[in-house]
Amino acid sequence: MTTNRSADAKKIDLVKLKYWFGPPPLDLGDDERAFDDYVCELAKCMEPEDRVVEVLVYRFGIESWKQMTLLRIQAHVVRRRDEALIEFGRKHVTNVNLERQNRKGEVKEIVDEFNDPKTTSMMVREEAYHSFTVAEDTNREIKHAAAFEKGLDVYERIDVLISQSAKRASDILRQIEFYRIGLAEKLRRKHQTTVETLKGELAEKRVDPPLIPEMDGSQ
Amino acid sequence: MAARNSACRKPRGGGPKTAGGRARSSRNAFRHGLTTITLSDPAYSPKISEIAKSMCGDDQDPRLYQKALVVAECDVLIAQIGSYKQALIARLVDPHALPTRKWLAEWNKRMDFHDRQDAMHDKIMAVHPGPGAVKEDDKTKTFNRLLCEFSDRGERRNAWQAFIAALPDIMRAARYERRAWSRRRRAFFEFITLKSFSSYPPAAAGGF
Repeated sequence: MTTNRSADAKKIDLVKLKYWFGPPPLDLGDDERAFDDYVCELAKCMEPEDRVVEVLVYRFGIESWKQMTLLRIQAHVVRRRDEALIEFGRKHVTNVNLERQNRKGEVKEIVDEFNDPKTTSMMVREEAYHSFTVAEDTNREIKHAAAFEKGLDVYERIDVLISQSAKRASDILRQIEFYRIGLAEKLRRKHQTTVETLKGELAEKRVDPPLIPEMDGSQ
Repeated sequence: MAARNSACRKPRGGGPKTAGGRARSSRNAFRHGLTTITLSDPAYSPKISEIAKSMCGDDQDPRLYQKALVVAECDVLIAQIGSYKQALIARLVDPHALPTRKWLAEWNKRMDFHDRQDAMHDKIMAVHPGPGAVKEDDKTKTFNRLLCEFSDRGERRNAWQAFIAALPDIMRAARYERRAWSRRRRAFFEFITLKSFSSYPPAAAGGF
């Protein structure tokens, strides 16, 4: 974004605002110059007429910037969770395929050596081991579900922060609107008072001509 | 039924019930000091007054000035909360730092970490070469290696991870921010009303 800073400086006094409210809360290595440009563009659009609106525009800039940052973080959380899910699914499919292959071999062995007590005992033991593996997989899946739930919790918390920011930003816009309505009302009343005063002054000065002209002594 | 009704009528407020819990929560504000940011604080009062005066502009109405002071106070408080949040995130870039919440799991993690550090300390002290030792022997080498391990804080969290780790603390700070915002909104609407109906003369005769 290319902006003429010296021209925008007339619109909003960023130096003063930063002195009052401290540096803007920038996360994740955000560039302060980019933030300044953003606020200057906002000021160009909103055209603050006095310091009150300047403060509100600056606040709106901070809130909307924060909202964008939070959206980025939320997207990051989702992306990370999706990556983890895909990885888990891939591993799960590989494990299931391996298990199926092993099962096929086992079934052949059972058919061949069904009557052998040694084989039966071994099969029982293997079955127990298989149950244990299933339990281990289940445990892993439960852990994964817990991690997923934690990810959801983070997602929801960020969602709350985003909605708060959005609400504040829209509230600031409403405040600017009401402030301008108030100023306009004040101006209107002032104007009306001036007009009435002028009317009164004019009424005092105006002298109506008499309806019946006065009689001169000569007539 | 009557007992049930009376139970329903009971105020279901959260917060601490025991004397110990109440005493502990009464000191919560000392952690961040956000409740001290008022007009009466000499560190902030000049800034708040300056903002309020610039908001009033030409108007000479003292009631308007009072409302502007409240708005300015809330503005400064909100800015300070933002800085506090930044500090919370910056703190958690350290991989061993934990959020300041007091959940048992977090405390257990912290205790485990301290136990590990203690064990490491004992190991290091066991192989301490002493003041006059030769620097090239095995004991000194082991000591140096262990010392490096001890001081190695691990890989630092990146900004995303630090933010996610600091999220519980940020949510706690957001409570203060919410209060400040609602107070600011109320004061600002009163400010607008007073400003639009103010009949005081402009500051030509001398401002605030």
